[in-house]
Amino acid sequence: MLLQVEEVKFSYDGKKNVFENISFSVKEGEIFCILGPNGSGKSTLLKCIDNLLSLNSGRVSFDGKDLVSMSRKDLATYAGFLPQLHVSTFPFSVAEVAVMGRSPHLSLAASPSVKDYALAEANLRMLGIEHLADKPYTNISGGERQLALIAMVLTQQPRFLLLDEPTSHLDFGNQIRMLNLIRTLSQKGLSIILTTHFPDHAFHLSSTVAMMNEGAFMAVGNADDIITEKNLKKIYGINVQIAYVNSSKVCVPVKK
Amino acid sequence: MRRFVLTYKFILLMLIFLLFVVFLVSVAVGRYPLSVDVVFGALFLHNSSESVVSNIIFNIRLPRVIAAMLVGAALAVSGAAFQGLFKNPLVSSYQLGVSSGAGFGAALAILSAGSTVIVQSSAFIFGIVAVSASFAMSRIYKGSSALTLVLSGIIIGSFFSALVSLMQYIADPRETLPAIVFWLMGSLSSVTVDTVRVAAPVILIGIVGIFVVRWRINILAMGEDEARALGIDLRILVAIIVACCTIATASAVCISGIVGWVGLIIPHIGRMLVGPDYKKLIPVSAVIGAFYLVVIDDIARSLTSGEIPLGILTALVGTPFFGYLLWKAKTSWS
Repeated sequence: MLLQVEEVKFSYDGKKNVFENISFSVKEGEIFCILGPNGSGKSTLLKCIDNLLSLNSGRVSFDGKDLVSMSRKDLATYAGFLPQLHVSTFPFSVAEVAVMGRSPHLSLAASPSVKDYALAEANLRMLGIEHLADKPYTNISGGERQLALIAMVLTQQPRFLLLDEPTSHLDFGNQIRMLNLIRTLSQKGLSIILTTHFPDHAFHLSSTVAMMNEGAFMAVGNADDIITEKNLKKIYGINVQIAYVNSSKVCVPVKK
Repeated sequence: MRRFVLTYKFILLMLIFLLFVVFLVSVAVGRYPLSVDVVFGALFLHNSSESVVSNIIFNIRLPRVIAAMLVGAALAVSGAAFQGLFKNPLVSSYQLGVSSGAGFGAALAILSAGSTVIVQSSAFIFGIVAVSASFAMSRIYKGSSALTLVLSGIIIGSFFSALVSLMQYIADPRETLPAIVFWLMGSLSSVTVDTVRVAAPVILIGIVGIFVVRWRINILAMGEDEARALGIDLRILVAIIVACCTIATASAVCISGIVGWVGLIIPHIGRMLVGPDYKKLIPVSAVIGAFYLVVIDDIARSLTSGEIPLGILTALVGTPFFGYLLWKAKTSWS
């Protein structure tokens, strides 16, 4: 089971490329973390992998199946997508949102069955938010909403999770809880591709890291090899010192 | 403390029962009042009664009551579906210009001195033409989002409104102008057995179509990228919803004229009762819509010796009710 991204390029207007020349692959159970500053093209890349935006050139394949040859329904059984900062107009309950993940498994005319609701509820329980099941999705905190969406994506039972900044808009504790959850999910065999602004989070996940800057991967490899003071200075333009606290690595911005 | 929660099935059964009661009462009321048990006997027990009574029941009142129920259900269901499709609780069944198109079709036929059947057919055809134009216009743009569809609907709606005004301007102020104006205000007074026979299946096809895909409207309402990521082929689903809403509303409007506010407020009442889940909202909206328009039509035909146009009553009842909804803001949307 493999996601392969080969030489992909995307441009909104055909003139300026948002990203180009990007290639990588993600194996079963692997966490692939895309780190980069605002506007580097991380989210756009993630949307292209889920065919929400169409690539200008290059190829994306899941298990050798070309992305463009797959129907939306097919693709949704491979990849689950967690959008950034989602708001809903209608106050659907958290359980109703979670069960929407069954959509690719149901025919056009079907509504979710008792079984589907049970699966959604099991995911809410796993994420520790079963008490929110009947609460309106519009009236819960940002962190809870993020978890509700994760429950929805897990109910989809995909093999790849595409998470667009899953830790932004979460408080300090919830950020770490989200990272632990990501690690647990990868241990269950899910492959996870996430974007983030925080180099510390890549250390915490000890994942494969791609450093993205101005539409290209500057470096790809282990978190320890890639997240260096020199590289951070290059993409963020600030001085950073990497320190050890109880054998965990942390990045600290310093004055110089 | 456990709060007593009315279950969806109980609410739906109660509403269906109420609709049945109001159906019997509606066949009974009118200028020639009948008792409810005579009506019940004639309709369900095939009790033979005097020919004048059965004529009133089967040829005059029953077609009209059935038409009112179908029109109300069609407008409520399509309004609810459009609100989900456009992620906007303030749109109605007429969002894509079906009413202006039908209004133009009717006015054109009235000006050419067409019979009732021709007026109805012309209204139906131009209602479909207007929505098709909105839909085609929105698909010119790459991406074709719900927002471009709303904008196209506004553009096409305004275009046909202008044409309606033009028809009124050139109409004969003594004969055709009043007919056009009266048609635009909405009425079920010209409904016959034949009208119902032709329009009912078409309206039902539209309603059943929406009923079949109703759960997916939830997912559409979450956002376009979100729906696509959940495996939905947007172009197909949007086309199904627009097509079903259009044949239902166009055939409703062609027999009733323009009846406003039903498609806007009934889905809100539905949400107050069973929440925003379209799996429950569509059936509940259909029943409440049918109930509401039958009651309004009863008032329209029995309050005064003449007929009060339906559109006037639905607006007079609808606007204060909508104000009340906003004030109460129990259906929280953002």
